[in-house]
Amino acid sequence: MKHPTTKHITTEDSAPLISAQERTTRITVVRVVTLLLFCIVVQSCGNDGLATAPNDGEFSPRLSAYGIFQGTMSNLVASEGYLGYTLSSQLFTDYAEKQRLIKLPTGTQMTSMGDDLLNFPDNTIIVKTFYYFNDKRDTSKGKTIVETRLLVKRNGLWNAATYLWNNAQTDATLTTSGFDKNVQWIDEKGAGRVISYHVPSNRECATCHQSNGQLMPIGPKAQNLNIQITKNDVQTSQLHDFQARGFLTPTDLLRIRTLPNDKNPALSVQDRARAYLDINCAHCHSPTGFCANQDLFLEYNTPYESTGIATRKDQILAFMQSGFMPLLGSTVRDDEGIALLTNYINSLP
Amino acid sequence: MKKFIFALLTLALHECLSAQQPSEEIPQRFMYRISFAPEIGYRTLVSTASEREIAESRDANEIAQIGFTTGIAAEYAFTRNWSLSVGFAYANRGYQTKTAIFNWSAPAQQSPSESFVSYRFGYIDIPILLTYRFGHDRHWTFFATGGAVPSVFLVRSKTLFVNEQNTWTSTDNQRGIGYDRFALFLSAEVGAEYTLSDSFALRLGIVGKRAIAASNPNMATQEYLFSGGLNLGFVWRP
Repeated sequence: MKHPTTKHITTEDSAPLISAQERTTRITVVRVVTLLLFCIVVQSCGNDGLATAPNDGEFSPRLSAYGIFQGTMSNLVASEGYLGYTLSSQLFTDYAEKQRLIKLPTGTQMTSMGDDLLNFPDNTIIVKTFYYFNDKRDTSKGKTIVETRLLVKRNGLWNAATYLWNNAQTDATLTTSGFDKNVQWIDEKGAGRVISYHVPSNRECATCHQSNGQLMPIGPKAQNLNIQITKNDVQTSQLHDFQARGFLTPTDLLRIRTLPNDKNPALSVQDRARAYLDINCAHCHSPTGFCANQDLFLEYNTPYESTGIATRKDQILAFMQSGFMPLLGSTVRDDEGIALLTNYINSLP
Repeated sequence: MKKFIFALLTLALHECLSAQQPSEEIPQRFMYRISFAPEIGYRTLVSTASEREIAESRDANEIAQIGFTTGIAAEYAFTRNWSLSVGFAYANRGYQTKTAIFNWSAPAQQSPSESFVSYRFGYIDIPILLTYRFGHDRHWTFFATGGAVPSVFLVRSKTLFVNEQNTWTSTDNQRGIGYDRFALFLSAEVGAEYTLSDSFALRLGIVGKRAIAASNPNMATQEYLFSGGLNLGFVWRP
């Protein structure tokens, strides 16, 4: 029986020697491979795929410093000067409830720019608080507040910050690196739900909120605010209410379109789906957004033939169904939204 | 800094492999290796003062997790004892949260009782390692290996595991952004090779890797991944 033998490398052993020509060839191959490797990896250095829009404004370490809420903070009762508002169609963020507030500096007003984003004066603060009712069937059973996001306009530039609420729900801490938090709630159908909610980092904020390299609010476009609200048991236009209270400069509200409510079953699938794409996707998929180079423009006012949807129908659905999209802002699939988009895309020629 | 370190390592390798005189007749042995390493992975956090609470909260809630590295390498022996290897490997390393227990305020149709979250980071590793072999005998050779592992980030997978009535289900969320495309790990390994024949040997080592560059360098709370475990391999000497 032949015993296996070790093959040790020594300068004295009888290992076959390679020719100088072969050796030169090998060295050349090694040189090319290592330099190629060097180029590939260095090219990929320092790039995490997020937008580089500036978002480095100074924020207080505690949310309480802003005095946004009066009394017990967790009751979310807005302090004087904070204006509550609602949107016709809302971004899906893992089924979280949202409270939206705006504070304008005393004596200033917002200005309408057609259907688009309102023009806000310097030192405007936009506040959005994300929470879950413990039992959505009975909201008197309390809520769990997860985060409050601030958008503050200083010297003409917006900056964003995120505050993570503590477990005692007494205050929130500035969080710039992102954070995952377990959240549980009972939904409107009585099902217990658990998710790992993601509080975005400041760079994630900047990625969705950037337009032409600058941070911008996403939701408060005139067309998305142009809805009927109930105030003192009376139906009124939200924008008209803003005007009546002196928050919005006089403008012809009849010239402002209304973004459809994507949850309203009385509207056409096309209108609802386009509204859904506008509020959930168009901040990136627009000519000035983070994904401008994708040639997929999903703003509601973009004519269908210019959106790029026709050639990307299967891809849109596949990305949504796989959870690959949206890239940021949610961690679970929006099943209702996907069903709406599926109906819409199946209805297209 | 990372670019500089990588440039230095790559150019050192480059020069090392090409510096000898072409006319010099030296014995040359190329070896090829395939390996699989089940590893325990975790991370350290380095945070600014403003995010210390965040880091402390994560440290209290996150624990180690099993991952693996598998790949191939080509090794060039300079002498009886010293060799240099370059390879490609896929590494899946990360960490997870402790299991959270849920109490429900009201009867619900379905009520998950516990959950945890797994975070896995996929990398293509390019290990550049120097090996010293010693204690040669007919079958056994011992070795110590160390070097740098430049890595290219592929994807981070966040998976939520939920237990409901003793049935675990999972929801996966994958992201390819938010982490630096390039990472740099230091690697060290000790172990032994068992020669099976003139051309084949088995290899077993204890390996450890630690990132010297944060996976999210632009954040106030930075993550440095590390992992360690057994490295099982098969060596072919043609």
